[in-house]
Amino acid sequence: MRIVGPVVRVLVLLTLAAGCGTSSSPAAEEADPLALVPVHDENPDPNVVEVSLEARAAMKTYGTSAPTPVWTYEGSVPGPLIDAKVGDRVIIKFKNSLPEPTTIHWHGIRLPATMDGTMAMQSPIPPGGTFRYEYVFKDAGLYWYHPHMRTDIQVQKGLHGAIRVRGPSEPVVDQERVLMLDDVRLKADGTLAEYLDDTAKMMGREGNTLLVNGTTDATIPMRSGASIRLRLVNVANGRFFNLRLPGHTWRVIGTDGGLLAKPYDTEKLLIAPGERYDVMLIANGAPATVVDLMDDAYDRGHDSGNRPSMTVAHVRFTEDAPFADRKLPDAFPGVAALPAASKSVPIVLNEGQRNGELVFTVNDAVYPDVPPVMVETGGLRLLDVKNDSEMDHPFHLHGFFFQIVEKNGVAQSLESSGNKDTVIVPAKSSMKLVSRFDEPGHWMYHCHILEHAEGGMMGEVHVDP
Amino acid sequence: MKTLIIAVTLVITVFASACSSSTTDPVPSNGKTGTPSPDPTTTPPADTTTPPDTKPATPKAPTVDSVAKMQGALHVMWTNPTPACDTVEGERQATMSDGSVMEKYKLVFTVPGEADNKHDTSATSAMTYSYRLRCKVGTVYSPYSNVLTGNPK
Repeated sequence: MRIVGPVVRVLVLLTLAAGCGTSSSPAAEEADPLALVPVHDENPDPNVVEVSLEARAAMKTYGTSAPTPVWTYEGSVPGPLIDAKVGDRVIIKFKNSLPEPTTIHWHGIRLPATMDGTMAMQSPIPPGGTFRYEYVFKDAGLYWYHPHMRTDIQVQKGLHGAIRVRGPSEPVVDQERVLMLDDVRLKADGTLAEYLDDTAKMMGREGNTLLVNGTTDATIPMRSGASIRLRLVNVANGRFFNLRLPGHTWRVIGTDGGLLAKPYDTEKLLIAPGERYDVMLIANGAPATVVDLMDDAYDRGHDSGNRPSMTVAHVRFTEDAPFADRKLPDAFPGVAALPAASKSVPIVLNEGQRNGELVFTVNDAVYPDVPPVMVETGGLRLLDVKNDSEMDHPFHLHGFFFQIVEKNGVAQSLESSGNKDTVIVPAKSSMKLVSRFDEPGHWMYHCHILEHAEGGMMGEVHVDP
Repeated sequence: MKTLIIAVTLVITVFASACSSSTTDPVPSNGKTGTPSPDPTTTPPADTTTPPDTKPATPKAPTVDSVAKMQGALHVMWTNPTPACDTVEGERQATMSDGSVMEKYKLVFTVPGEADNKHDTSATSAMTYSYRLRCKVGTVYSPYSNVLTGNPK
C-alpha cells in the first residue's frame, strides 16, 4: 500500500489502526501498542478541529511495574494525537481536573501570544477551571503540547501529546509513525520518583525506564524494503536521545518547522528535549527478524557520555514479501531564508551556585529577574546565544521559528537545518540565530531541560504592537 | 432470638474449625518452612515471657562510586544496596595539601534514602575531601561505606 499527499491523512490513520501497512501479516491483526489515540473531532467542518481535552489523574501500568499514578490528557499517556492540515482552525475546550493549576503550551506553533499557555500572557487555569484555546495552524510539521506550569513535574507525570500538521509536500511512504520518546523514573512500588536529587537538578531528570508512545519494551513492525517515515519528538525532561538503528542510515527530511530543502543522512540521530526530527529509512532487514533501536551514550557534559547504550525499542521485520523498489526523497521545497538582522541580542547561558543551591542563569540572572528582550512587531533580531556552562542546553523559543546562522563562527546551511524552535547549544560554544518577531505579546525562551527552566534559565521577549 | 444464637454459634464454630485447620498444616514458629512442628501433646507450652527478637536488621553500607569535580565543587555518587533506607548520611574529612587533617569526619549532608548523589557546594579548592556514607533505617545505621577522595580544583 502506498499513500499519497491528498489522501494521506485518512490513510495514515487507517494504517495506524490496522497495524501500519502490514495487514497481510498475522502479527498485524494484533492491537498496535504504539498507536496514539486520535482526538475526537467534534466539528463537522473539514477545516476545523474542535476537541474537548481534560487533564485528569489516572493509573497507568508501565511494563511489568506496579500501576503508576499519572496525570493525563483524556485519560491517556501520551495524550491524544491532534491531526490537522495547514490552514485548519483548532479549538481546544480545555478542562483542568487536576488538583493544581495548569496551562497548555503548544510547543513550536506560531499562534497568538494569549494562546501560548505561559504565565507571561495567561493566568493559571485553577483546578476545576476551563479555558478555550483557539488558533490556526500556519505551518506543516510535528509539534507537541504540554503544560507550562511546574513544567518539570507536570510533564514528568504524563502531560504531553503530539500535533501533526500536514502540508502540501508530504512524501510518499509505505508507513508513517509519530514516536514520542520519553523516560520515567519508577520506584519499586510503581510510583514516580519525585525527589529531585542533585544530579537531576544539574542534568535534568533522567528516568530508569525508556518509553516510546508511553510503552516500555516497544516493538515497531516494519515490512522489509518498505519506505518508513518516523516523526520523532523528545518529550523527556532531561534525556537526550542519540538514536542508532543497526544496519540503517537515517535520512533526515525535516526538523522542528517542517521539511528540509536538502535532506541529509546520518548514522546517529541526536534529539534533545523538545526537539523534533522527521526521518526516513528503507527497512533493511530480512523478514521475521528483529533489530534493536538503540540510544547510545552522548556526552552532554559532566561525564554523561560514560553510560552504556540502552534499547529504546525493537524493530521487527514482518514476514511479508519485501519491497524492492522504494527510494528515499532527495529534496523538498524548503523554507525561505530570513533577511540578515542588524540588531543583535546577547543571551549567555550559564550555571552556578547561589547560597549553596544550583541555579541556572541567563545573562547572570535567574528568571524572573532576567531583563526582557524588547522588540518591535515585525522586528528581526540576531540571537547571539553563548553557552558558558559545562553542559549542553537545548535553547527553545516560543511562538516563532528561528534559523541557525552560525555555530561557533561557522556559517550553517539553512537547506539542511530549516526552521527550528529548539536547538542544542553545546557546552562552551555559541550559536547565532535569526528570528522575525511578527506577533505581538510576551513570549518565553528557555532551556528545554525542564529542571533548568524551572531553575531559572528562562527569559522573555516582549514584542510591542 | 434462639435461631440467631444458633446461627452465631454455627458461624463461630465454622471459623474456629477453619482456624484450627491451620494447626494441621502449621507455619513453623521459627518462620522456616519445612521444619516439622512440635507435637503439642509432648512439648511443653512455649515460654511466653521471652520477648520476640524485634531488633531490626542492620542495613548494608552504601558504596561510594565516585567523587567528581563539577562546577567548581564536588559531586558524590553512590550505590545503595538497601532500598528501604530512610536517609543516607554523608560525612566528610578535609585535608590540607600537606596532608594534615584540617577537619575530621563530620556530617555534611543528609538526603532521602532514594537519592544516589549529592553535589557538595561547600567544598573549596584549598582542600582535599574524603567522603564516607551511612544508610539509616529508623534508628539503625549501616556500617560506613568505602571512602573516596576528591578536590574541586
